[in-house]
Amino acid sequence: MEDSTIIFNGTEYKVQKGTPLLSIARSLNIFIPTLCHNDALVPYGACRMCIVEIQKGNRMRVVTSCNYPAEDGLVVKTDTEKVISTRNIIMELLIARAPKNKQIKQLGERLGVTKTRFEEVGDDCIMCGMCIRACEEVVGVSAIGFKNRGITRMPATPFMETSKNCIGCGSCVYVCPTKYIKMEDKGSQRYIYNWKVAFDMVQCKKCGDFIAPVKQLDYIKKKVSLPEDFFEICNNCR
Amino acid sequence: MRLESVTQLEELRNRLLSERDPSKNTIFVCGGTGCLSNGSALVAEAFRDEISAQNIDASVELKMTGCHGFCERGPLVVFRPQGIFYQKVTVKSVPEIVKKTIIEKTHHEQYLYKDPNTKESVTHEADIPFYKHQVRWVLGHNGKIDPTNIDGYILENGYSALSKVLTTMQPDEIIDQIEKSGLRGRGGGGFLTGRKWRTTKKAEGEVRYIICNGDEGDPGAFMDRSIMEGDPHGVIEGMIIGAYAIGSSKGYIYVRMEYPLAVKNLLKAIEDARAYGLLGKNILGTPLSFDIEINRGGGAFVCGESSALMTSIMGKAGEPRAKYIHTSEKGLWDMPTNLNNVETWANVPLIISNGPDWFSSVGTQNSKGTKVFSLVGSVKNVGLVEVPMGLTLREIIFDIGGGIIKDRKFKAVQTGGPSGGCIPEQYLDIPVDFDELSKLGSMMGSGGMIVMDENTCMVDVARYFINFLVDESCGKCTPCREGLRQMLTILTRITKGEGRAEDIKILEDLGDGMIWGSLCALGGSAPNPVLTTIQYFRNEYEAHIEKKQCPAGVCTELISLSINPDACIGCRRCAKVCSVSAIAGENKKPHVIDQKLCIRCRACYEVCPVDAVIIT
Amino acid sequence: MEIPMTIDFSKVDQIVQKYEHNASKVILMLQDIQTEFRYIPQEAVTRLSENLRISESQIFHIATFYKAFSLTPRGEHEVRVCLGTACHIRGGKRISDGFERSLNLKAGETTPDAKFTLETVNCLGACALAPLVQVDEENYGKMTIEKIETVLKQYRK
Repeated sequence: MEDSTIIFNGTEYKVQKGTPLLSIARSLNIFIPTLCHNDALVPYGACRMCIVEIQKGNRMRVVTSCNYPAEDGLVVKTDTEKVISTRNIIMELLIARAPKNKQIKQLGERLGVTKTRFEEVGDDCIMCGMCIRACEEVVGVSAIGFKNRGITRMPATPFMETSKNCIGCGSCVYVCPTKYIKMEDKGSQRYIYNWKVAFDMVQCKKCGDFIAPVKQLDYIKKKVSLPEDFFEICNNCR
Repeated sequence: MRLESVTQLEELRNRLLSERDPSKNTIFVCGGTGCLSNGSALVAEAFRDEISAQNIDASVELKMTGCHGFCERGPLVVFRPQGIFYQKVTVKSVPEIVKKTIIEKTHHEQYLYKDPNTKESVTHEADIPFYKHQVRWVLGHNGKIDPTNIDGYILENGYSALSKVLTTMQPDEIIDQIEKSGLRGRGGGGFLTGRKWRTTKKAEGEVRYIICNGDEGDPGAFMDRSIMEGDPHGVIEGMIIGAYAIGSSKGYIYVRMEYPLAVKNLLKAIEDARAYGLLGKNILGTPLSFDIEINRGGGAFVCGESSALMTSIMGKAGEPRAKYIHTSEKGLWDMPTNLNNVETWANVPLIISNGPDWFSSVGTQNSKGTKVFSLVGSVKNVGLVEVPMGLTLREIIFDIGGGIIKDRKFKAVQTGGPSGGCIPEQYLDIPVDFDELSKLGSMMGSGGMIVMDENTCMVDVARYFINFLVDESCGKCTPCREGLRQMLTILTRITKGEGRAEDIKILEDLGDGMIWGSLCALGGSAPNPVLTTIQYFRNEYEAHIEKKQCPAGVCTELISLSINPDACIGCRRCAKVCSVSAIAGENKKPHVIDQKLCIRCRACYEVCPVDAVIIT
Repeated sequence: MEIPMTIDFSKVDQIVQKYEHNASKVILMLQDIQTEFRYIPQEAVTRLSENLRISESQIFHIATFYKAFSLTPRGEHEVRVCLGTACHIRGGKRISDGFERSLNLKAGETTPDAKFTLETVNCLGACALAPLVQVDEENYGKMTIEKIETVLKQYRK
């Protein structure tokens, strides 16, 4: 029910109260950059790239649009001087963090930030948390989590050892915005190097292609109550 | 011994009052963490032994109290009703003190406080400048009661505000009174307490929670420690009143793990309150049920932030979350939660007992009541002070604090901890209140007031705070995590003489990005010490960067130490503390520092009894 | 340093029992485990995960997020040098360096004989006694380099 009126970049719109400003922007084809956002995951608000300027009454604030709920009377601006200058500093910080990373470079170029004044750190992980959140919220095995806090914070397996719970589904790889998580399918084996795991893959009985890790398919079979032989044939052959 | 009604509580109070012997002498020994570290427990034992030995048990009793506030002069002992104040009391001095004060009815001169400026002794506590200018409301019980004894609290009118509330007031009335008083949060946010209570009360949810934030993490601040240690029932009474007003039946007190005595005294107080029926089901026979649990922190400054604190209580790593939806609406387990600081809670019973007008009669237009500050650093009188809002920095630092140690020159006062800023000399006459401090780029914060003199390097101070925060950042958001790291790199370079011309601008731009872009107030206020020192002490930054000099003589890479041969008496104390054996010389002859070996740690400078070590 | 191969699980189970198997009290449980074993053993994390049905990843994050916990055994005596602002201004860093020299290790480390662990902490709230050092539950105020050996000697026996 569209019960709230907001002014987005100068134009009035009727929206449902509580809708995140980012969704509204996207439905209006207004570009707001994001790094830690995925529609399948709970908004996290960590990368701070999606910031916008809002005005409520006579109070101006800079907030993250991925998790700020729309409400009646809100005024939203996506490209004010404050938003741009703040976002550019964050971009400079990210370039310093991951100086050799192609995806970060591309985003920077899109925003017009190609250099950084800060000292290079050299770590492709930008701490968006998507891998961990996907593993917990979508897959449900919580094989990985954060370790430490502050600048030593990093995604890790418990005690930095081979992950016990990982099922090799590769969700973390798909959501990672900087391709920091490295997965390789070599013959009948899948490796996800960051979590020190290797999996035997299930082979299609018909064409011989490798489908997915045994562990992953067992997990899905159990979760969704599929017959034991469900994955013996791959999707193409089915 | 459960009290089944307010009437029974009042009967107990009256009985205790009638049993009190007004002519009895009481010796109050400070048992706060500071004095305990200086051996006050042994001093108390010595007094007990002496009282016994002199057979005066009938007319003299001893009480160990919470922190008196004048920590540097501990162990502190006060005799009442005379009001005689003794400082730096030793076990050996006890018999003579007892003899002179009780038996001869005079005082023991040697252990009286001596004003460092007038050099005169002051006999009575009320006349000591440190205490004279204070308005001790919240700290009223500290120093007067044994915090582990609930009867002592009741004797001093404790739980009378609760009685008043349960017999004559409705929840909305209580919130009205708190709102009318103008009480603002004492933990740093300065948010109107009454408004927060009202929001929590009105919010949707099956249960409501109350939290007391005792995670005092600002380095240099120990106000909450003293209140929790010295007057735990004051906090508990405030929380029970809050619970009744807001409609909560469960409360938490989150105490940082570095305060074991506070945890101990709070646990005892909760146990005693439960035994009397002041906590638990049907408090004093009324429909109100409320109980409190203690949570110890795990050593994370960020857990002082309200959403991080709540995440910690729920059993997770203390990472803050966006507060676009306030915790008063969705806090613990997504239920309405009212979080207030220790000092804020301690003010509640006073406001209820004395009325909101009493409270708002003191203070400034928008900052009512008193504030407890920890006055530390380069002041002569270091300790905890409670003053009305609106007193000037000069009055606090010079009249109460006694001025700068060794009569050095005042340079700056840092307020608000790592979230605050450094205020220079030209603002000494501003009244201390929430808004005035914010206007200067600093903030009230929790009440830490660190005084700095001419021997403090402001760039080093900025670097110190950033270094502190780098370790404490939760690391979730980019501006804080990466921004603090880069600020530390730049500031470290500057203190090492490797500063670059563009550094100041970069720090300012980065600071701006962190203020607007960070997820929580840790990152959002982290630039304050840097930006205020750049604003008010830019010349120091420029000296470090352009001339590779540290005007205050602090930054290791930029100073050199030498011994003035005319002043040196050859006592060899410097040579003994030198960790690299860089000082040579014969006994009673001038010594020399070998510049090639010297690591410029300044240990020799600190120990030289004749100030013969020169820093250039 | 030798880390024991296996731990007494009954102690872990008792702790879980004490907090009534309440998963939200996992931090309090870990605090008790830290006190009991002087560190957080990996097996204890596994046991907690099984008992409370929360992931090992979550417990591991908690164990590495909060400074209260260590994954390697702490010494018999914990020496904490306060580096709060007041202590910093009064030479806290110098005292910390002094302890590093006397114990022949860096802050955060434990002596080979497992007697002492040296830590630097951020403000213990006794600022009037700066610079402050805490050993276990005892506070030593107005610390000087000259007093370091005297303090350590008390615990060396």
